[in-house]
Amino acid sequence: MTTSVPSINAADRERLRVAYPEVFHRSFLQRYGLLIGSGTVFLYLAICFFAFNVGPAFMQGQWDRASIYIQDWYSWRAQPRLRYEDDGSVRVQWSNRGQYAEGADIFWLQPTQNRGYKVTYGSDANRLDVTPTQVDVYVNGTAYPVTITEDAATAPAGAPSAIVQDGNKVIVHYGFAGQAEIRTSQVYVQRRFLGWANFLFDTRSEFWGKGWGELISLATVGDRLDPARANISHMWGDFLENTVWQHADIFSKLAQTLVMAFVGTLFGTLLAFPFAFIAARNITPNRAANWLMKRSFDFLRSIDMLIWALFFTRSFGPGPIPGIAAIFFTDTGALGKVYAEALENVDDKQREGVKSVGANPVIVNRFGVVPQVLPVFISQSLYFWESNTRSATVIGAVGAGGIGLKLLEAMGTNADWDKVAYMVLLILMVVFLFDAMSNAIRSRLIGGPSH
Amino acid sequence: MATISEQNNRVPGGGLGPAASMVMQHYRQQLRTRRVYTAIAIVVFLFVLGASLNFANDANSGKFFERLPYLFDFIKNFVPDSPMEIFRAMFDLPSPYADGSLKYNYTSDRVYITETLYIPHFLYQLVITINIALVSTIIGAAIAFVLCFFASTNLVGAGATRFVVRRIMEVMRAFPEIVIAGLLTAILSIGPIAAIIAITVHTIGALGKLFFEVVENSDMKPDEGLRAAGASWVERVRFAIVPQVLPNFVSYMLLRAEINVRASTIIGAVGGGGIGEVFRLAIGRDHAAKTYAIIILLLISIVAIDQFSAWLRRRLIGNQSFEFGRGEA
Amino acid sequence: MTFELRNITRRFGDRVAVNSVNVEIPQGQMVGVIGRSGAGKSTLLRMINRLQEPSSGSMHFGDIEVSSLKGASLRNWQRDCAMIFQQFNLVPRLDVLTNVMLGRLNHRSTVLSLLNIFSDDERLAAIAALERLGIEQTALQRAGTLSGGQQQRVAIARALMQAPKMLLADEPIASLDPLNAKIVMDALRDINEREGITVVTNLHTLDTARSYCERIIGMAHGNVVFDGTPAELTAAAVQEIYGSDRDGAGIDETMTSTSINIPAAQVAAGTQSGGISTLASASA
Ligand SMILES: Nc1ncnc2c1ncn2[C@@H]1O[C@H](COP(=O)(O)OP(=O)(O)OP(=O)(O)O)[C@@H](O)[C@H]1O
Ligand SMILES: [Mg+2]
Repeated sequence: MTTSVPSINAADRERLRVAYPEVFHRSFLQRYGLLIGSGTVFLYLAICFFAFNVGPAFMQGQWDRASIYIQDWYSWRAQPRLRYEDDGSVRVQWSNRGQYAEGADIFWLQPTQNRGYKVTYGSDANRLDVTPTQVDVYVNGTAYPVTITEDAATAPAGAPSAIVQDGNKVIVHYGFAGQAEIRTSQVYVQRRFLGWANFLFDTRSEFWGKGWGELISLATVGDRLDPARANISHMWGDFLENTVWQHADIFSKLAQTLVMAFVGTLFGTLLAFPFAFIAARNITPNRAANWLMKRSFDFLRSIDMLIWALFFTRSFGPGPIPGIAAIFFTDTGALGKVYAEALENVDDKQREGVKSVGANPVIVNRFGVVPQVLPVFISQSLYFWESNTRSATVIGAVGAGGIGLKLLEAMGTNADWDKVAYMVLLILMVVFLFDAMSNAIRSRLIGGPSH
Repeated sequence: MATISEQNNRVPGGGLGPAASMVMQHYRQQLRTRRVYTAIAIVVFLFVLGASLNFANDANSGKFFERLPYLFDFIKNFVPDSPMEIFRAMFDLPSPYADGSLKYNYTSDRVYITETLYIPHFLYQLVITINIALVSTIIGAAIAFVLCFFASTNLVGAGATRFVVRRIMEVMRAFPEIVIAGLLTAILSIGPIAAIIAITVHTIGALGKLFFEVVENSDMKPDEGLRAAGASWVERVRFAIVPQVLPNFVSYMLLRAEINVRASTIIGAVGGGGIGEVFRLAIGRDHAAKTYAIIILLLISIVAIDQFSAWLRRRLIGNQSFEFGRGEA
Repeated sequence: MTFELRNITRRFGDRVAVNSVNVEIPQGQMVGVIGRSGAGKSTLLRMINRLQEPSSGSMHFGDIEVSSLKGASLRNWQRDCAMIFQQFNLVPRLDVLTNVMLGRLNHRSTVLSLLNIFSDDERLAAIAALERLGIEQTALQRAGTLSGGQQQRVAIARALMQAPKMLLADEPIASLDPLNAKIVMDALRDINEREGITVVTNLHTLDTARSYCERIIGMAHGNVVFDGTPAELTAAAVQEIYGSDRDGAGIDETMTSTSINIPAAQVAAGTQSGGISTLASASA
């Protein structure tokens, strides 16, 4: 950045300019090609930006909800309602998700002497003391009494920004720990904790609320809770039957998706294999047959998987069968094309070798061609299997069932994001596992000095 | 193989020297073990297949053989009133069968540009779908382009950087698209943006992996030459690596564009808008003519895009074929 | 300004590739480094350019301690000490002119470089450098399509563009035919004489070293075993550098020669054919 270009005297400069004009007068395209190219792309993106209304959509996006949804992935909310009773007491009413058993002792929700409730958000400095006439809101140790009348809950003057008067109700924010909505007839409490509530057992299970150590000792050496079966199978049963997390259902849906991909790819492979021999020009010396086969492959491949999926869902009803059929039809086309290309690239010397001993065409292909292409075929099918595991998820969401549909349902409620996260984790694990497996098989097939 | 064992049968052991018969014995033993393993593998495989099929049939709401006749009924009933109907549905022309129902109402969804000039509804949706695919391919490829250099062993010494970038790419690749689309739909409301972002994320992961593999296979001599001339890391990447890898990058990007057109159709059907959604509605409501019109449109556009990108790729890198499938996960 | 190596050592695992080398090279010298394959010549040169790090010891250029430079100042040093390679290390897909201008990278704004924007002055300088090496007609060709000799000259032109104080050449002529080898060596000598740039070059051919270099450094097993003028390079010294072959005979100097009509060797033209046949018989 410091030294200048090696200096050249004026006469030389002129001479060079004249001698090599093409170096200095580059064509318009050479000069501005990059600029025009990137300009076009930017222009296109900008047009799409406006055509798709990206700006307004982001501005109107419900970002407050977004943060709640994202928090739901890795944490859970308990949402009791504290209703004011006529007799001056407060009653706790639970929502349907049921994270706590009936009458459980909840450390952050304790009854007080005056028949009210104390709700703590992390520590005693941040808490609500709820009675039917007044809710004392503690923010960082200071109390702010919210008075409740027939027609309004009113925050005191000078309350901090965590306490918001919203019409006739008062909303208190405690950050991640949760929030509360103080109304004229009840307090909506929302208390958030890290982790997934009741992931292993729901509240009906005898194992509910037990620590890891206790569970392990129960599973290994403890006395049978149910004399009819071992604790470990009891646990497994309770785990699968967990009504909140529906492990059994999720596993079965995941299995459906995997079966779709597996069977679909397998059948596609089995059908594409013989047909590819017909499509390959060097193997079947019949132009018409080649052409017909190749166009059929193209046709199967070019009809979108979505079309096949919806078509078969209409005829077979939702479930793995339409998924299998959709994958089978597209993959027969795609694999057939890939296989036929591989066949057309085989080394003819080996075929001629087998032919020279007077073998019939089937034998020629069996020993002269198949050994060459089999590793390529299998490795291609493995790639397809991997990618179809992903496709099967999406296809499922369209209507074929499986984990895809389950995901869509869970997302539709807007309240089960923890379950979505759970399924995503399962899917990621399965995909990584299959990735590793098919990579291992492929490197064993293709690796080695023979290839 | 056959000849050897026959020979061996004719001259049992003794005919060969001691060393040769030993080899023969080993060979037969090996052959036998291999056969046993193959047999076991086949049995296991068939069992898994049988169990899978059974499970699939059980899990399906309609059973395969019970529903098979309905398939043909469905196809039989799903015939448009006249071939022209397909054409009319495609171009939003009024139908002679119009009875006020949605089935024959082709005209109300016209997208007018001027008083009289309009874009047919399906064509418009198709353009949306293709644009979703294009935009996500461009943005995804651009981000993957930047990321891939940080994931390459030959360019980044820091193992931690490489590890992190690669894991990010893997997760992006494997993350179910519908979840991203669903989450964004919940936040941004229905529209193509959710689809774009979902497909972009996957594109970054998928292309990023292919890209950094290309980079890792590139020739490092030019890089050494520039390093010895005092070029900085960015300059080395720009001038020593990028010129080598660019043709392959572009070609992978074109393949990805093909895949993304299909992906955006499907995501559309799940709620991202575009032709996918229209198609789901049409087939779901038994609107035969509309369904066929969309199938034909999709078929034409996918074939056209595939052909165009194949042609471009051939021009870029010649006939060098790709060792990977359509989806490569 | 003098360039100085102090106790430079480089180990690869247990193997010592360069062992405690002490050398002082005044500005403007033309130095040839010779030695058997594996003697550590390339490692030494690469350490000077800092493509490889020394295991211990230090390098100095004037007041600068080269061996401890980092970041931008390291790159400035690499710019000041240009290097050319046996395999040319050009960017094959870029045109020759751009390849030459890449020698300027360290002199100019990164942003402009990334956008591939070069000034007319730089173009002038590049074409002048190409002209000087006699390959100006290839300026707009892709570097990968050039012959080896042409590519090596492009590499030298690129090195010239760096405006270096020192030029390192790692076996610049090892993959070239004799005629191209001569052209390249002549170019190096010309640069050394006209610009006063120090040239340090690894060579496999003794007679090339003798005829082009004013000073020869002989290496064996990582050690400097000879350091002197060509005249001092006696048969005994050669024997020490290259060792002796299995039957105890010393190295026939012409055996390492692949060159033709090099001025100094012209006297011994009679032995040329003999030399080549020795090579042939040795490999047979
Ligand atoms: N990157 C490396 N890793 C391990 N060992 C190396 C490396 N580079 C060089 N060596 C070893 O260091 C020694 C010196 O190698 P160097 O390349 O410097 O020899 P050279 O004199 O240039 O030989 P040649 O004339 O064949 O190019 C050799 O024994 C070589 O095996
Ligand atoms: Mg070397």
